[in-house]
Amino acid sequence: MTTMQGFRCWHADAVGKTVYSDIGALPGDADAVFLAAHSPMSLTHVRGAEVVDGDGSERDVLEALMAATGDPDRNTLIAVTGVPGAGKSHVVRWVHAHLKLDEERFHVLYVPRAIQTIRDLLRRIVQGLPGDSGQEMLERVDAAVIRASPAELRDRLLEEMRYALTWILEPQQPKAAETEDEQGRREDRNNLLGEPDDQGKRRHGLADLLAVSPVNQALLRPGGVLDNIVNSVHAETSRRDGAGSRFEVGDLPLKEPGVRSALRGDEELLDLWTFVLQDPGAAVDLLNEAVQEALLRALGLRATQGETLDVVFRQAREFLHHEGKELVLLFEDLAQFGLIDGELYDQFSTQPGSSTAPLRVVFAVTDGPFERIVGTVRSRLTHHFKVADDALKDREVFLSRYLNLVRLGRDEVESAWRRASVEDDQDWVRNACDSNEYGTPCPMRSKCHSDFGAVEVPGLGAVGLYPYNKTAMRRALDRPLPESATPRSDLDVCVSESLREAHHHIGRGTYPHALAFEKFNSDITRPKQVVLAGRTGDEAERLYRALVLWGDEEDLAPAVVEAFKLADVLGDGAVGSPAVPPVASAEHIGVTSGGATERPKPGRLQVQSPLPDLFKWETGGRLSEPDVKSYRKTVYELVKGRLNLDHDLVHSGSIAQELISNIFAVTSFDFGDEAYGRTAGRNAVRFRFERNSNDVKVLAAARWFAEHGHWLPDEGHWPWPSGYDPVDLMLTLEQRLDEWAGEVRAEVLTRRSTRDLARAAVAARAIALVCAGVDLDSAAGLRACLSVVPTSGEPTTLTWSAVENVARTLLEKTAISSLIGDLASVRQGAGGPQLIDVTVLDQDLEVALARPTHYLQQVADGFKEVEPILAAEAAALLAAVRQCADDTVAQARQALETVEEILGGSRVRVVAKEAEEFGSRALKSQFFRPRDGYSEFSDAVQVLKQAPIDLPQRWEVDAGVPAGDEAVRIQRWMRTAVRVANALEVIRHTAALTSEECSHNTPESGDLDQREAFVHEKLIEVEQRLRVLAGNGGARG
Amino acid sequence: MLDFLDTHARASAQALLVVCRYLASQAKGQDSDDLREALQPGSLVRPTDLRSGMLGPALAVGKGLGFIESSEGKPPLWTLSKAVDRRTLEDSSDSTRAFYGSVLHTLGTRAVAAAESGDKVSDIALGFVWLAAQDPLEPISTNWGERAEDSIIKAGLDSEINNGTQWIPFCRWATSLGLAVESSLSSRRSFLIPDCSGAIRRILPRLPRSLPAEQWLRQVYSALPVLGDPQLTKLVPGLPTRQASVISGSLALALHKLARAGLIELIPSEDAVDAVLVRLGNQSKRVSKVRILEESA
Repeated sequence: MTTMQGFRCWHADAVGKTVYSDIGALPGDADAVFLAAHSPMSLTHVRGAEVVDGDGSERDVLEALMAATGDPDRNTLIAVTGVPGAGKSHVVRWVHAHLKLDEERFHVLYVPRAIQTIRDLLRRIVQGLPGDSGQEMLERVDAAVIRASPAELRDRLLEEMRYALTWILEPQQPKAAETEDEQGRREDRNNLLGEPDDQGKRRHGLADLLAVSPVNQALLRPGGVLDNIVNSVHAETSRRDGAGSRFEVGDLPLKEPGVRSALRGDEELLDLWTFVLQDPGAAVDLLNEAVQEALLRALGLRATQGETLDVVFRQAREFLHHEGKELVLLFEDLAQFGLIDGELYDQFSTQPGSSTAPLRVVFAVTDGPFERIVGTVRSRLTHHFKVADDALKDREVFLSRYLNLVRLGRDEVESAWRRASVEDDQDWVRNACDSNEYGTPCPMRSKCHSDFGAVEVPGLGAVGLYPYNKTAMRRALDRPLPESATPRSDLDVCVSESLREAHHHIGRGTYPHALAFEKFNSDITRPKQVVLAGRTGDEAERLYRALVLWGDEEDLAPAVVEAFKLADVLGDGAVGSPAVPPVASAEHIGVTSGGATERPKPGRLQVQSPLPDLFKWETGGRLSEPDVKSYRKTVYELVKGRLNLDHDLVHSGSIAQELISNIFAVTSFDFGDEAYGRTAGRNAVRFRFERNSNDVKVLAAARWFAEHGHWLPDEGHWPWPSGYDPVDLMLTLEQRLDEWAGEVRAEVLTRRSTRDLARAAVAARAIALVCAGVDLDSAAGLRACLSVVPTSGEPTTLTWSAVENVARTLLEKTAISSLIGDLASVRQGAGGPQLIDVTVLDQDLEVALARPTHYLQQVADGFKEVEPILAAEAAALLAAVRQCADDTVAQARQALETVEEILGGSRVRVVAKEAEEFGSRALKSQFFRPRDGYSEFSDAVQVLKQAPIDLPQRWEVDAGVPAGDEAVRIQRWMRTAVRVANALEVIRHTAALTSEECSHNTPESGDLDQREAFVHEKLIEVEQRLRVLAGNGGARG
Repeated sequence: MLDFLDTHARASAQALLVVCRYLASQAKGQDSDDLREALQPGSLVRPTDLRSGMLGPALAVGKGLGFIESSEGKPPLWTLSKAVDRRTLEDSSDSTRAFYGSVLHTLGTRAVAAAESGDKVSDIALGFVWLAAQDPLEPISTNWGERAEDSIIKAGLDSEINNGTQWIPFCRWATSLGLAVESSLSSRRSFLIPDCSGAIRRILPRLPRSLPAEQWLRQVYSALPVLGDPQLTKLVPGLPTRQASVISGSLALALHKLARAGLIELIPSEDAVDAVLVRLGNQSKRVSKVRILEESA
């Protein structure tokens, strides 16, 4: 039996020689190729007298043309319009190929679209028209082109535009029944032309604007309109439909700097530029008018003397009239005439007369340029046919004709055409499946048509679809396209590209290749893993493409397996088997006997499964934004639900919630290129979904479970994803959710040290309390840290006040104490903390209070990203402590020196008592000095009386620790020491003044002893004790 | 046996942990006021009396499980039982789970002891037995009225769990102790998946490294009786009769999950007479031997 393995019934090079999707590329002598695959078009007759017995095909155009012949008084204008690629040119070409005219009565000028430059076009016209006129014009044009470099020609064009704007283009006059819009456009145009001076030269118009350097340069730039036109003239490039040869708004330097400054000093032009900025469309229209005129002049087609295109046509028509002939013009694409169409339109408008032959014109033009055709021409159209968007009713038949054409090859087709022309054979194209070059059927015909399928093509019979089958052809025709399909795009992709590639890959046993998916509709309904039944590897990928594109995810016909050499990957017994047997273990793909579910029966459920888009994503499709959002949210919720951070006493309070959301959020689930919106921050956990079967299975499982809450295939409100086993799907999701939850939990609990954070919050508060003057030690524990509030009016030292302010700010941050409730407590439901895990929270207190600056540094550094509020407050407190430390330590040292010096070893309270007595007696005896100082003295005595008995009088600065630590540590006694020192200074000062007053008054007051002998004695006693206060030295040390 | 889901519904494994941790640091014991003052700082915890808050029920449950002891004096002093492994009270996630594991183990063994002696078995232990038998493919809504109620009544446990107020702490205990996973599908829909893989993970280090499946599973039942000890399953009349050689429900799911996670190996057998059938949904796997893999060590 003949094998189909690697079978190809066409030659790769035959594709390029036979398939011309763009009629413009089809050689003029290739009618055989053109006709061999021509499919009747579907046309709408938009305008014109009804075509008798018309069939709505291109035949109607031919009939319409023929019906008009013989009328010497009227021209015939037939327009064939449609979107690009619809087949308009094919219609004209077909008309040309089928035009059987008496050469005695008609002269035909046929301009194929292959002609794309102005010079070639002119040459074709001149050579195609009768008579010998036009040569002088051609020479003139050639000379104009040859003499000038492209840059010169570009500049000349621009200057000719300025000339046209200044002298040639005339202001438009109001039309009868002019609409308001029309009036506005006309006035804008006339305004842009400028105003004529006393010599008739228009000034301050667009012509002058084009001379301004930035505008001039913009229009001359490479790649601009003028450049494109010049390149076209030089035959360096060609553009279809005149694309690039018409000015657009973007060609004006509207956003480029420098125009206004260049216009400075010319108010009129500045106003005009402002006008252009406001309504650039009017300027663009006028530029397009000007460039058309300019090109004719630049090329010498506007000669005041000698031949012009108009003259050439006119002379030809006069010649033909004289000969008794009609001039038939067939233009495959009127847009070719673009910049010189005015001359042509003049001819269309010129009716035949006593000396002028009638015109019979059929032209094709795309919709856009057709709209621009001047009204005088459109109003003279005899017929207007529109090629429908779906002009080829049966695309399968259309493509099959080409499949047959490629199989036949160009030589065979042209040979057959020649024979047919001689023998007048209407059925000259043979079916390659039925009859090869030796007249025998293809040896594969039976098997091929059976398994790959065939299409009944009128005039040909059953044409095999190979290498397509029905499914593949359908999917090829339904391939994704940026715009709607046209015959041209069908031919390009489904025949030209696909047959070339298929020839190569089938020969190598690599078909369908990886890029094949792009040329087909690759919609799927089942997960790839299921379709492949567990197979993996490159060959499995190829098999998958075949199963989807040729099998709709189901079995492949034996001939398909054989031709594409898929038997090996399918395994033994695959060829000829109606089904694709699974080769992988059930465990591997999660399918056990009786486990995998069958495809759901259609119609049982109303709601469609949302999963096919996901399955397609695996094979390269895109997920929509709502889909991505939905999947992200679903898996996020599922993972969040099993974090169970409360088991570790962490709760989603406001602070912890923010902390956790910085680590784990919806955006943690990353779809790569499909990730719409923002992605998770660099410190967040990320879980990447790849386009592979495992991730797709996870997402499918998540979607199913999220929408159903169970794994019961028969209980869903949309169909269970066929091929998936419920247990496997559940376990796959469970395993992944557990992994993700574990990773998030570890990140939150361990790497982000949530418990450390709670401890740090406690310890930072403790340090702040100490800094604020609270006498707190580590033994006081958490309760003290949370409950003690520094007295608002507690006096502090000036040097330390900055620290104290920062400390109070920290203590007022509820966010910090909330951390404790969020990260180390027991809660139930949404309520607040009910028990605090105090045992672990106390652990840092001792070290924090022993080395406060070190601890604050750790908090500031360690939690900068995790808990920025706490870190920032710790950093601020640390900075304040460090800034004030040296001054504070110095102040403390000075205070203690004062205390030590004044007390001289005495206890503070003893001194307080004696000073109080001294003051009282001095006041009573009126020796108290200063006279108004008693209140201050009394306050100082009170300070001494309230001083703690353990107030140190000596203190050795620990040089081994940072000054900041020392400054914090001494806060428990420092401010008292400073107050005591200040109080002692007041008392000493008072004693000195009072003593002086006593000494001063004793010699002159002989009755002092009498008046107050007792006081004097006491003063002496006090004086002895307070010698130091009087400045007599001795007590220091 | 005290109830967990009625009088002491406010207790939880977490509350018990916090109380035990604190008592471990107070060798001389603490009375209730001291405990309340220490564990409920006024600036963070809304003051409650002992019973209406969480502390009282936690102490009662701890005492019921033998984790906490109280003196006879007035007021009684609460101390941590010597039976509690102090290592489980350390501040780490692993220790915490070990603590929860010991709670589940104790709860189960006490339930078995109660069953054997004809005493009343705790409500939560019977609830766990019911939970372990449920089909993981059909998770139970955490909304009492949706399916749980019918299923509990059908199981004959309506005197143990008979309203939503008891169902909530049951779900809480089940997830804390690793017997179930709660899956939230939205803010209003969540399901309790019978999944004891968490509980088994915690005891894996103490299970034999390799044994015939039937013996290995007997060790599992011994460590965690609520997963299917016959003494307990017979106290839940509504459960389908289970063959000893067939593992289904929560335990079947757990075995599959642990195997997929590479922690255990379920060595299959087609003909071993002492093989057990691990059945999950419509999948059945005949297992002759269970081996703990290195990763779980």
